[in-house]
Amino acid sequence: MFQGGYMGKVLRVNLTTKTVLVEDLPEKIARDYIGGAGFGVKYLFDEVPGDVDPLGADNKLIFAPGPLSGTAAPCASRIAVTTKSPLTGAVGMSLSGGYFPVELKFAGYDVLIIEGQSETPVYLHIRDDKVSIKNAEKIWGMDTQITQTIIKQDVGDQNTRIACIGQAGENLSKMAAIINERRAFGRKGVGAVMGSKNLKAIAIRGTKEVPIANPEAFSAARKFMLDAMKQSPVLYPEFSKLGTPMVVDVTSAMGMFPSENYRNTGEKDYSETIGVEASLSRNKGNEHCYGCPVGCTQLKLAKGQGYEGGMSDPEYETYYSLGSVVGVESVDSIIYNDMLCDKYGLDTMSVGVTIAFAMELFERGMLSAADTNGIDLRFGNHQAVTQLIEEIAFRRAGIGELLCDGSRIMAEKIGGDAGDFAMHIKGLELPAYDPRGAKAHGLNFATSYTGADHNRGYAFQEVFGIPVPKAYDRFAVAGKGWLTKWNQDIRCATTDCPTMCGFLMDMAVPAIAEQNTADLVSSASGLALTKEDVGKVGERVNNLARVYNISAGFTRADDTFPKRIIDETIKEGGSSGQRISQEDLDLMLNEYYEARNWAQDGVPSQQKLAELDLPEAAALLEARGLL
Amino acid sequence: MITVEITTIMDLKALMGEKKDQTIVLPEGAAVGDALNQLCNTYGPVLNKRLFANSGALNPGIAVFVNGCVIDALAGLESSLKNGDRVLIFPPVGGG
Ligand code: SF4
Repeated sequence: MFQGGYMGKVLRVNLTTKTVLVEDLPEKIARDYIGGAGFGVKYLFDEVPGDVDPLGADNKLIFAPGPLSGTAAPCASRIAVTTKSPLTGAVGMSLSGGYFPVELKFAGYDVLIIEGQSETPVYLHIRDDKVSIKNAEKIWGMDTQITQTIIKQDVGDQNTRIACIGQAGENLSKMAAIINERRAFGRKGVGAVMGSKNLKAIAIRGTKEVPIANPEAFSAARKFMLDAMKQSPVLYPEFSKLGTPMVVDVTSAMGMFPSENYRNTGEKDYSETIGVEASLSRNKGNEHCYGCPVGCTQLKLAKGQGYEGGMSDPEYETYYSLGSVVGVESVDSIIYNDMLCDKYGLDTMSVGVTIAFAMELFERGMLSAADTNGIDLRFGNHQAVTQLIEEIAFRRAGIGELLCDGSRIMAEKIGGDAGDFAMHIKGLELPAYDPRGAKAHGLNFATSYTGADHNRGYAFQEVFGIPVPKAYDRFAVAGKGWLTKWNQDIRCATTDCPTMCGFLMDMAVPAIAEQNTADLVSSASGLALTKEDVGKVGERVNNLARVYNISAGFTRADDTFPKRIIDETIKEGGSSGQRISQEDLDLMLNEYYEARNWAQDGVPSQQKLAELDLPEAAALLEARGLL
Repeated sequence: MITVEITTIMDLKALMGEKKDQTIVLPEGAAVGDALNQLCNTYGPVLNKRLFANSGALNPGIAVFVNGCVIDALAGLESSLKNGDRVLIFPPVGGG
C-alpha cells in the first residue's frame, strides 16, 4: 500500500476482448523503476516478446506518468508511452507533457496498458473508475485538433484531456505521433501502434487527489527545487521568453546545426534566417505544461509567403527538421508545416529528415520527377515540404507511400546505394545535432535504447559547456563512453522515470539531480529512496531495455552512425575538420561497454544484471546462449 | 601580436556592438581572460557586468570556447591563445 505519490493501480484495457481490469501496482516495481519510462520498459519486457509484430495485436501501449505527476512538484506533468516501435523494432518510448499526464493520475492510475486490437474504430473514455470503450467511427478520418474538440462535446466535458491520433496514425505511417492538446508523444511511430489497434483516442477526466506521504518533507524538497530554478542563470527570463528555439543560434555558432541532409553542415548560418530573432518576431505568447512556472512553449503565428494563419509552437528540433536539414530558410513555412504535422499526427523530426533524404536522392538523380508525383524536391523548396507532409499523412500512392514509413524503409524500397544518404540510427532519424561536432552527444544517439534519440542521454556538457560532472572537450573521443553512460543513466533516473521535465535538470539542478529526485520521490511516496537507489534505477532501465533490444535482434553492429557521419568531414564553420571515423566509434563504444560492464559485443554481463537485480534479463540472455 | 576571432550570440551580441563576429588583436602570450577584458574595455561596464562576477570569475552560465573546446576543460580564463584562434562566447543558454 503506497502512502502517496502513487495511486497504486494499473488499468489494463483489452481492445480485442473489450475487457477492463484494474490491478495493484506492485511496490517492488515502484521502488525499482520509479515510474514513467521505467514502468514502460519493465511492463514491455515482461509482457511483449522482442519478436512480436509492432503493428500486430500482441504489441501493447503502456502509458505511465511518474509519482510526481499530479503533485505540486514543479514541471512533473509528463507521461511516457512505451511500446515496441514499428519504426525501429526496438523499445519505442516517447514522452509528452501538457495536461494529459496528470489527468491519468487524477483518475486514479499509475499505468494504463492497452492490449489487443479492436475490429472497428474506438476511443477509450476514462472517468475516474468508470472506463468505457466507445465507438469512434464518426471521428475516424479526422485530424487531431477536431478529434479533441468532438470528443469533448461527445463526453459533455470541456475539461476532459485527450491524446489521439490523426490521419497519419490511422494510415499506419511509422512516423505517426500521438497528440495531446498541442503537445506530442512524437517519436518512434507510437501513433501507428495506436492506429493498428483502431484506437483513435484516449479521453480522461479524473477528480482524485494524489496523496503526499510526508507533506513537510515534500514541501521542503519542492521549495528547494523552486529556489534552484530561480537561481538558474537561464530559466528566467531567457528560457521562458525564448524557449528551445534559442538553441538554433547555439548550435549554429558551434557549426553543428545540421543542414541539407548533413551534406553541408556549418557552411551556411541558418541562425540569420530561422534563428531566435526571426522566430521571436512571430511570437504570440507562451504556454505552460500543468504545474510549470516556466512556460517554455512559444506559440507563433506565421506572417507571410502564403503561410498566413499558420499557428503552432515549433521547438528547436523542428527548426532543423522542417528548416535547415531540408535547406529551408522560411520561418513562416516552419510554423505552418509544424502545424500540419501536429494536425495530421506526425513526428516533425522523422518527417523532415526523411524528406531531406528524398531531396538528396532527387538532386543526385536517384529519384525522378515521376517518382515524386511531379514535386520539385530540391533543397530549400518549402512548398514541397508542405506537399510531402500531406502525401505522407494520407499514405498517397507514389511519393507518400515511399516516404511514410521513414528513412530506413524508404532506403530499402529504393535499394542500391540509397541507404548511404539515409540519416537514421536503428531506424530513428537523427535529431538536430551533427554528431561530428559533439562526440558524446553523438555516441548517445548510437547507443540509446530507442535509436537516435537526443533525450535519452543529452550531453549538455558538450552543447552548452556545462561542467557537470566535469568539463569536456566536445571534439575529443576519449572519455566519451563513460560520459555517455553517465548522461543516459542520470537522465533516465531523474527525468524519464519520476517524470520531470528534462530542461530543469540541465538548467536548475544538474549537479544534484539524483539527490533532488530522491528527496522529491521519497517525500511524495514514502518509499525512502536514496540518491544511490535513484542512480541505480537509471542503470537498471538502460540495462533492461538493452536486453529487450537484444531479444528483438539488435547487436553491436547497430550501435553505429549513418555512413556520411563516418566517411565525411565537416568542411566549414565551428566544427570544421570534424568527423567520427570507424576507429573513433570503436574506441568510444569499447569504452562505453566497459563503463557499463557489458561484454565487447554489447551484451550486459551476468555480474551487472545480478547487481541490478534483473534475473529476468539474465534468464533471457542465458536461454539464447548469450551469457 | 596575435589576431583572434570572437563570435557571440543573442543578448551578448547586442552588448558587443551588435557584431556576431569580430576580430581583435592581442599581445603574444595573451590568455582568454585578456581577450574578454579587452572586449570589456571596448564595450564598457555593461558587458563587464554581464560576463564577470565581482570575484573576477565568469558569471554562472557564461560559457567560453576556444576552437570548439570549452575553457573549463582547458585552463579556464588562463587558457592561452595563439594567432588565428576562434573564441566563442555564450550567454546562459539551454533547451533543445
Ligand atoms: S519547461 Fe517547458 S516543456 Fe518543461 S514543463 Fe515547463 S512548459 Fe513544459
